[in-house]
Amino acid sequence: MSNSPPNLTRIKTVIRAKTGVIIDDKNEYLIGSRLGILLEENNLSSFDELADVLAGPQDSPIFKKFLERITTHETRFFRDESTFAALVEQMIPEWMERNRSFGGASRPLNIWCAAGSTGQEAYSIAMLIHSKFPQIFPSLNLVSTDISETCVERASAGFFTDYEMNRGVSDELRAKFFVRVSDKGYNISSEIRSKVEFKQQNLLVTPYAGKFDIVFCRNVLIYFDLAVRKQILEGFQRVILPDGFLVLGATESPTGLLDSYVVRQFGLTRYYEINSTNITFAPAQMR
Amino acid sequence: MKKVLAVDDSQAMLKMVQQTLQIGGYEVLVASDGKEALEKFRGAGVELLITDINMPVMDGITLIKEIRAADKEVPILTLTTESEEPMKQSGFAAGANGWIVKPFRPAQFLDIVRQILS
Repeated sequence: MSNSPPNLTRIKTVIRAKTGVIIDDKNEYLIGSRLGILLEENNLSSFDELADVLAGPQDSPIFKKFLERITTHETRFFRDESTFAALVEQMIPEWMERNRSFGGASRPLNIWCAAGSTGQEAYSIAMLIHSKFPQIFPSLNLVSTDISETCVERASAGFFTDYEMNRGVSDELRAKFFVRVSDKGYNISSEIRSKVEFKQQNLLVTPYAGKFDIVFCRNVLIYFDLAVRKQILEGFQRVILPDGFLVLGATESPTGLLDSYVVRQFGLTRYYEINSTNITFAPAQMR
Repeated sequence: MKKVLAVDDSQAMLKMVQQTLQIGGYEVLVASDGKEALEKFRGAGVELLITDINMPVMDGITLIKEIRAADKEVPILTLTTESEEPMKQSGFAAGANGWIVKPFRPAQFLDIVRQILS
């Protein structure tokens, strides 16, 4: 048996083709640490063999487990608090203002958490709107999607461990929206739980459906190359309403990829809006 | 308070721009054509010029050229119904920094102004 490092070219190609995730040389260790268990469990002797299996049917248990293992599920309640401040201080008030100016009839507020992991983001939004804008809470529709079926199931269950609760949930919100169900953790209230529809969706494969006022897609684009980022941003553009907003992670931006979004700001937080003002910057001003 | 000069021959449009900018905390000077704008611009300490293109007496492109001859730095935005690429390019060649096609979204417009002036 050779001691030379395994050739990871094929498995990297499959990972990229199936998930869009790029494993560069410095992250190659992730293949061993995250996918090594798939070799053991399925009696495969190399990542090349695994690549062959993964090129097959996508509804197989091994493929599902591959998706779980290779994608990142880091999340927490109210992650990047400034984003939520921008939501309640600026985005929703503007949405209400615009909504009023179009005839006054109350329109639902549709929000999509793309790559919403185990639900903390969507539940944070729902709790916040319930607290700050009780008048629009009844007409709030939230959709949270994730590539991982396990994440979607966990999100749907609405159960959070003490550890997860301690990452972002204040005592006040805990008392208002959670019920302790065991010594391990809490269930979110049915009022908040019923506000969110959780679905499995691969952003690279599943067509984007619906029309949304706000799309959250945070810390996802960073895993993709420029072509895939552009593809995803174009997809969002098709489902975001003309007055709608796109919220990305703090280090992500459509700038340089698509000029159909313009930057909006709230304090140091940036988010994006379809360029309905129709501004073009002079070539030297391009940002 | 930062001073913005808004130029448009439509009084309704001018009022809308003025109100939007005032909500944003800016002092707004207004003019109805390029010639009047040029007179108001001189020595007034204007930090941003927002101008229409098609106007009587002096059009927007001429105004931009005149301003640029005197001031290379002040940011200039157009706010116009002209969306044709050649006209836009002649605006950039004259010295406009950004070209906005009407109608404008007040909140987004204000944010663009804020970013330019920050």
